[in-house]
Amino acid sequence: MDTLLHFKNIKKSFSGNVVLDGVDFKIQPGQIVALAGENGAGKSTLMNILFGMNVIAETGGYEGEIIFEGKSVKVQSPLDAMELGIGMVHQEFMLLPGFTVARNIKLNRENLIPSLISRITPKSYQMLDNPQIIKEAAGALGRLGMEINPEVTVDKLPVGHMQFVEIAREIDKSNLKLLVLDEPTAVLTESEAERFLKCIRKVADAGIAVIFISHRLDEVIQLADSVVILRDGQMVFDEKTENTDKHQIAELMVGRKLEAESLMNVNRSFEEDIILEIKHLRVNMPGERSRDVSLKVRRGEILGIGGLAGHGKTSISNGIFGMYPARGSVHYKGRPLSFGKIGEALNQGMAFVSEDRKGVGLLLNESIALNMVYTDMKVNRRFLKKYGFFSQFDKKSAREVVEQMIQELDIRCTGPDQIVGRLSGGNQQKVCMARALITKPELLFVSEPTRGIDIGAKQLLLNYLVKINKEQGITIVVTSSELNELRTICDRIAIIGSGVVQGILAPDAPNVDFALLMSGEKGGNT
Amino acid sequence: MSSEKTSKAGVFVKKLLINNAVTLLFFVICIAGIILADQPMSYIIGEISSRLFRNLILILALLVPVWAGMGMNFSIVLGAMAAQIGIIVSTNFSLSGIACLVVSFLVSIPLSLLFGNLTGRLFNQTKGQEMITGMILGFFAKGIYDLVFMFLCGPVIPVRNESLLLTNGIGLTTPINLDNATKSAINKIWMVSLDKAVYGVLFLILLFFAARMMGKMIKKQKISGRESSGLLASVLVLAVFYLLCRSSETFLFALRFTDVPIATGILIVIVCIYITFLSKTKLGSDIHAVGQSMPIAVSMGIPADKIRITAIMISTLLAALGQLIFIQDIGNFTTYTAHENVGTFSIAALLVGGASIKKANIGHAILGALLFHTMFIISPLAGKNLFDNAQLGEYFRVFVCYAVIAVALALHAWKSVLARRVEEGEEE
Ligand SMILES: Nc1ncnc2c1ncn2[C@@H]1O[C@H](COP(=O)(O)OP(=O)(O)OP(=O)(O)O)[C@@H](O)[C@H]1O
Ligand SMILES: [Mg+2]
Repeated sequence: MDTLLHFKNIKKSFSGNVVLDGVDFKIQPGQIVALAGENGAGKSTLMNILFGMNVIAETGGYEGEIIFEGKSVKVQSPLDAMELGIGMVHQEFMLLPGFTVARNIKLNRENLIPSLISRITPKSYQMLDNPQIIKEAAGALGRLGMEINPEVTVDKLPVGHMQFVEIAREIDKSNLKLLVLDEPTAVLTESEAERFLKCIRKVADAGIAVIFISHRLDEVIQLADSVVILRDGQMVFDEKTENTDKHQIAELMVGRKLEAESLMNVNRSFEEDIILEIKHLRVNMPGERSRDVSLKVRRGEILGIGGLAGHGKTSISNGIFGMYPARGSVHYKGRPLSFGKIGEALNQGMAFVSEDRKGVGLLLNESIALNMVYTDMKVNRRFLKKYGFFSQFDKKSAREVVEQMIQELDIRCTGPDQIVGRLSGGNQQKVCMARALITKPELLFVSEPTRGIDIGAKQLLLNYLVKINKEQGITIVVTSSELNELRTICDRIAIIGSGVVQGILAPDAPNVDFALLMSGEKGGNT
Repeated sequence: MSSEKTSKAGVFVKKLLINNAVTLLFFVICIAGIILADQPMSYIIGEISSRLFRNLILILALLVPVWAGMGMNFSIVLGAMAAQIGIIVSTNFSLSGIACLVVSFLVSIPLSLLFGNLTGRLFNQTKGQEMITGMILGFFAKGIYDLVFMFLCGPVIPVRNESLLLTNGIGLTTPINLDNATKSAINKIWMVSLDKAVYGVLFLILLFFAARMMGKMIKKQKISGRESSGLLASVLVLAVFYLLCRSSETFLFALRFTDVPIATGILIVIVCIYITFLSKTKLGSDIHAVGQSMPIAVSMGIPADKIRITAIMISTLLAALGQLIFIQDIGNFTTYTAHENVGTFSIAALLVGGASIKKANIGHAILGALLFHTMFIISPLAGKNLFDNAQLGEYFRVFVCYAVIAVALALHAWKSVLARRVEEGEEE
């Protein structure tokens, strides 16, 4: 078979910092290549080069050669890439929130009908053919087996569906030859992800080559025909999937041996000292509504909140932190909490790492150091130099703490002064996490702690959560769609279904019990 | 069940009130002003109508940049300058009547497109600060404009028409007067009394909906609710208007007393049709896409910078047309200051109509023009009656223009907070 794409000795550095160093591999039509590597290994950078993203040219271009269908190509802009037949689903969402699903799918490839004026003026005065746009968009969604109404606007869709819309947009391109997916499953639940993988298989069977980036190694093994691994910008592995396994991939990525995961917090006992009591909480979060949640959190424990997507598990912490309108009552240390007010929970000594890291997130043009201490500065007024009425960010006192965080969470960066916008996706997430941890909260809420984080760092992070829980006595509430992750670190796991607590289980409870609760069969004990 | 229903209706009403807070506030001010001013209805209706026809295109010129996410385009001032330069040129060649206006417009087309293009390029260098850049650009352009017409015209740039020059031969006179044939040349093509005009427009709308229904019936398509309710509404409005005219002598008299310029009206309608049409084209879609998110639009291959420049060019060109209509209506313009307030006044009007820097449509423009100019007419008169001091009203007028922009922007920010709070009470 003819080679579709050949990355030939690609090198790239950002102002002296080498992030890709001699990457060289080939892809055949209809083949699925998984691209694996730690956070900051250079995966997104390589794909940005292929897709002609602006950042690359702005930072001095790259070295090496890209050969597409036998010809050496210089991709200058996303438009060039699209004309070649390369489609990309970026690590962050690329959908216009106020446009309908159909218009997003057909964006810049709208079906047009000539209008009176367009016969004499440029093509841009042709009219949109809305019925046809809707029909073709529905067709593309149909091929993925998704039932999404193409006429609703994207901001009303649950996050999980957005990813499918992006894929639909790419496969709708008639000249598509290569599809790049940068961590497409990071925002999906396990069941959605499964469905998603089936879709991708279908796409590949139609003769389209796929480059697939994921930190979920099970998916990699299940889906990919071959695996390419990057470590610190160097290509360390390029093999057929059947010749390797999950452990080898993980160890090659990280470059060291990994311990097996174990359940860390089985059978710890706690007094009935309730730090947080939630009664009849009802949160109006689009796509994740909870109806009537009552829960008690005991001081010193790690409580997990699990459940399927769309059933309301993520809405609980969002409601308490005032991100969405909520009703019900919440008592923190015995006193009622006015959770409608944004910032109230923070001021009371709680902290929150949201699952929506992009939305509630970082000051992308500021340094890692400032981002990490920002919340703490505002809430606890630490790291400030005082001059009478004025106070100013005190870099020096922050430095030590920040450097420690960078080490603990293994953030790959040039130092505390690096601009956050220039970190890799996964490393940005770690900064988010650090920002909450630095406030030394009494009660910490974390949603999807390991989303988009590589397998090595994942273990580090989970271990760190358990460590601060044990050493500093921080009570933690973890929301996650990965049950295994919850079982690894939690004392108890509450399963949310249809907007209510279906039951609470111990981490070593049998799999069937979890499955039953998730599917809505009541059971379990408190 | 029933209590749930009322609370739902309550939420709906609350939302409606909050969403239209700015417009409602000015509506109340206008009504109060009309009562206090205590003027004959014929005077008020006549003034409002003539100001509406005079200003509307300038306000419509603001819409496209809002779609493109560039906020209120303060640089429409440059379009106004282009129109003035056009008039100066055609006056210089002693043109008169419609020909003078047509030539003025033809001259202002390339100028305004050039100005728009340069402005767009500048805005692309200062993304996110378009409004303040536009404001400063307005001052800067005024400097150049003054330099050219105050000092260079005469000594450096030859001027044929001596009456344009100051007596010492350096710089243009102010104001520049259009001759009698040119003044209101477009308006004078066809004047119709307001009552007939309203009947005419209502009949046309009725015909439009009826024709669409017929067309669909012939093609055996399903008739959507839009056509039938449109038809019904236009019949109703027509009936109400008829009854009003029959029952109130003063009302009918006021309408008969007011003449409206149909040709100008047709120009306005053409601009409205163009803007509506634009939003349904590929270009319009790209403009909206860029307005929502530039990075995303770019990554989908939409040339965002080019689209933004196009949006500003369209806006500047429409502003030139608007200023031309404005000047022919008045019959003269102060050479060095006529363009100054074009930006602020139009923007204030649009904001009063309920637009925000993220959302604006033709309805906002029309409603805003009505309310803002009602207030403009009424305030000095109301001041006179209230405090026996017309000067106070005059102050009020100027104060209000600038205050409107600040208040409207603040209200829009406050609105989103309130709307959120109402929603909390809502859920299922
Ligand atoms: N615009 C930029 N300027 C400077 N350095 C950058 C820039 N973008 C990325 N980098 C650096 O390049 C390296 C590779 O980043 P990249 O985004 O390719 O990682 P990745 O493999 O996609 O990681 P992740 O799994 O976390 O998404 C990182 O060390 C990052 O700090
Ligand atoms: Mg990445």
